[in-house]
Amino acid sequence: MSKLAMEEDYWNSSKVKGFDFGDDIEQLTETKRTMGRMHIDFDDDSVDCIDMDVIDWSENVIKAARRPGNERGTNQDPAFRHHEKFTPGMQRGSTSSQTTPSSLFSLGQPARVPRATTPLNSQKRRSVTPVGSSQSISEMVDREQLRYSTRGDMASLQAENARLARLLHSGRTCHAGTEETVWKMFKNQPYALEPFRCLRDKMNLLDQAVKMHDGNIITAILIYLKTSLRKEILFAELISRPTAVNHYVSLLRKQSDERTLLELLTALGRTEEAALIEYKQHVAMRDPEKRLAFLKRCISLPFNSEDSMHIQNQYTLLDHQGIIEHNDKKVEAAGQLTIFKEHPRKASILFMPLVTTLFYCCFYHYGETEGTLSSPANLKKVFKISNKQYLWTAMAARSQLHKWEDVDALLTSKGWFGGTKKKALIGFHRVVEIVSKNNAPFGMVNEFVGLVDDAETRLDLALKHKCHSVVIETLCQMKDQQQLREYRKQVEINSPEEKMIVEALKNSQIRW
Amino acid sequence: MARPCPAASLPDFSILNHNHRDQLIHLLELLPGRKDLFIDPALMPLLDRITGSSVLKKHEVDKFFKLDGKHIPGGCEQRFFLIRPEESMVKIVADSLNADKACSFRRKCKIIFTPRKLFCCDTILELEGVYGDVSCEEWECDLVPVYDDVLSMEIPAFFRDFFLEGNQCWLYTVAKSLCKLQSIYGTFGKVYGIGRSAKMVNELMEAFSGDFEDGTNGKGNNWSLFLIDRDVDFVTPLCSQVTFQGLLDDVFTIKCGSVEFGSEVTGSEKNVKINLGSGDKVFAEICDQHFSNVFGFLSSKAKTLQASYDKRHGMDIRNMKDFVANELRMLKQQHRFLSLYIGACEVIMKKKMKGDLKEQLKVEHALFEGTDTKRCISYIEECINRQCPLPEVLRLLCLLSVTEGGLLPNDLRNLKNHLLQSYGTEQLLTLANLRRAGLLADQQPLETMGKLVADKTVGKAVDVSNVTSSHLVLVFFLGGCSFSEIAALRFLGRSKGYRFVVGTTALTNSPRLLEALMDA
Repeated sequence: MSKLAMEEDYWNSSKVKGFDFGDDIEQLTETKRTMGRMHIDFDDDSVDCIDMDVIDWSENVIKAARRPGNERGTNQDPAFRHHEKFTPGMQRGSTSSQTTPSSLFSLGQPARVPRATTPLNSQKRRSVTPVGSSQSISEMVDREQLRYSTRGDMASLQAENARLARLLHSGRTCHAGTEETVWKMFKNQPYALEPFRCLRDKMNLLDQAVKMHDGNIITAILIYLKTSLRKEILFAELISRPTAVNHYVSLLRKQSDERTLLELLTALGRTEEAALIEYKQHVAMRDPEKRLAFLKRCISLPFNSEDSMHIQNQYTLLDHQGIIEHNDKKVEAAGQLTIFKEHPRKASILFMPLVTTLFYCCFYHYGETEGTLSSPANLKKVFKISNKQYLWTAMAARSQLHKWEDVDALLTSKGWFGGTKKKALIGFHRVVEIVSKNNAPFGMVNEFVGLVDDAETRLDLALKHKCHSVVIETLCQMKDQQQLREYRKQVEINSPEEKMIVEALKNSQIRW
Repeated sequence: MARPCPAASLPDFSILNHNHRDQLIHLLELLPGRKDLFIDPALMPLLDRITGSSVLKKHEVDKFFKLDGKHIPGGCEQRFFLIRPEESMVKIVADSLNADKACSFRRKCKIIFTPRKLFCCDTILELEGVYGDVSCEEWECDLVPVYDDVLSMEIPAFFRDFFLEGNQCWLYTVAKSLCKLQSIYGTFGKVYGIGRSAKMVNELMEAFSGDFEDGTNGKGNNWSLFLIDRDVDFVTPLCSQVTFQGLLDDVFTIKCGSVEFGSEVTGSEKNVKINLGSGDKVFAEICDQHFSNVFGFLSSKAKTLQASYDKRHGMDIRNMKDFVANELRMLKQQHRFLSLYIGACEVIMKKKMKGDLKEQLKVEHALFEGTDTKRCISYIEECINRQCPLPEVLRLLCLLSVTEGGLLPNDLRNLKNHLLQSYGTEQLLTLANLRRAGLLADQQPLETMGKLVADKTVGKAVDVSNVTSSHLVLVFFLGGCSFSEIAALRFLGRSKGYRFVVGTTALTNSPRLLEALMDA
């Protein structure tokens, strides 16, 4: 009796630590050693289970895992309940005489006693273990303690606890069930994964972890599975477990284990993802030769045709860049060309995007003929750069160099009858923006402002850049006499602008 | 229907900070005597917020080091490493321990993981051969009150981990922090959720129940909890921010409720760091205002301040003495803050006006209305052609995709092609990530105008007033929320008579959201 009381005290005072099967790891290893040689009588309830070894385990697990709400313990599917009862130890027991002590946990009986008196509002806790399933002792004790610790109805439960505690203390230590182990991990209690050696146990462990929603536990179990299962076996099991796959991919990424990652994704049929991961490795390669060779291989990876083409282009571009870089470095070092002397290169062109390369070539290699590798025209042709993109980039480069005649030429197109006219694909408001930022001569800004299509925008820009004539013309065009009068106050008295305004205001042709 | 009624009062969340501080001090005292503290750079703002260096110095922290991979020999015989449970950080710590080992220097070391240690961290310690040489502790610094009504976990990694990789490692911490919150401030009357992680967090909370006493049950607050997955609404955080605080964050980056101004704002060599949550009245009034209203307000404040200063003219000696003793200090403080806000406004103006904000807002507006999609697309193409900052381009691209229910194959191909030309082919990786996270998609042929609100949320979104009787509501964003959203909730609270507390895994904005998904 005193022993019992002592045990009760023990259990009541330490609900967390009480179920460690001993407080240290040694006992766990001891457990492992003793596992094989233990023979334990089946409880009545668990004997029932032996009849059920026809159940397709994995099938059920999958079904259960997919069923919404089963995590909440409301699953009444008999098959599901059966397999819950069906502890791995017992199945082995049915094929050989060896039984793991985990069958101890399928003491279904005690679970039902308190259930009859369970108030409805304590349903919450069941989210962890499905009703009627085999529950581990520690869990039940744990649960009952929590449930009743604030209620009066303690006596019978304490007796129950004591019984379970006695069972546990009777020297028949053993490893915990999968569910219990996951629960321990969740509660930060000592646990061991090593005892789970048969595939079914391992996968059950994984499924329990997924049910908990704690990625940390899922990952921990995957780390264990990674070392204790052959890849092909693990991958095959993962196919039906998307959440676990996500965590495994995440783990492998963080471990930078690209090889396993690629094998996994390939096994799962996610070939395009695998291709991307392989392709990603090039980013870290700083040696152009090495990267070039690698990219060449990437072209034939199972990308869709569109992406293959992009990578093909990337390869070609890097090839070009290598040649340009090599030549320009030499030319710059020789100090012959003025462009390189006046504007030393700030950085290598290697690995830069296409548009940046185009800018570079418009900057240093503008006049070259199309046949030259480094000429902007060649880049445009090889990489099918759009006219708009080309105009943006060439404008920016030539403006930065103050090569206004080039800018002008970019915007000039031949008219029908040999004449020329100005045209800007990107819109003259953008042209104004670029050239004015680079301090273009006023005449040029003024001309381009006048060519802006939209009257409002034109007026805004003309005001901003003090293009008086354009302001006045636009205001006349907009028939805004009032603003024109206002504007007169801003221009200098007796300036040509003022004269223009006065004339315009007098002009009877304009119907104000 | 909601009747405007006196809003519930706000619980005092500063208790949480005190708890975090006490817990950290307790951990540091596990190794009595002098010690050096090595800190994960990502945790610096957090640590500043919770303890500051002086408190730690009092507890025998000798020196602080940024944990950036450089091994620092010498120093105290005791070392603490304070890190997030990330592989790269653990590796750095392991390297440092091994470096000590290599020169057979024996030192007592502890790693403090915050908010908790992950199993994979142990694996790395084991692989690196230092498992057992170092003991590990957990500092459960989960929810940090950054403002009176904003609790942040300061874990930006949540977004990528969960919404891109499907990694659920942070859900535990979210659920546990909410349970802890219940134990201090009262149980949530009702919990509502929308999204996958919301459901999981709720279930995890149930698994935790029983671990925490409902200490204040009964006398606690009558409040409810809304859990919201970030991927339920990508539109809001992708919009241009126009509130003062939103822009402050966009331009200066607010870290854990503090912002640092450089010389461009302060006008001096020295950087100034201010704590925005400190309860400065002027800031409280302008933080959620539309930016255009802020100037007027600040200038009127400046005038009032001037008037208060001018009072001293014509004062007799006694009044002057009084003035100097009482008012002057306060006025000086106000003056300091005010000039910082004004300086910040100027910088914001300069930065935002440089790009064509007007055109950009027009385009955004057109996207919400679903009108003139062609023009939006050509604007995005133009931004790409000009090599505007990539996050800005991605923001518009994703906004286009989520508001239009995906892009037409032709448009997508064209924009993708331009984007890869302008920013490098390796951005294929980023685009693939955006697709995975649901920010970029192909338009489904028969999809009708499922605009703005993603289909999955239709019919699930609920009007708060219809479902909750409590007037205190914790809205928890899983994956981050923006300052604009906080401003919106405060506004909603004022107009409907609710008091909203915002919880989040991190405070975010569109560049941070998108940078988290960039892979090249």
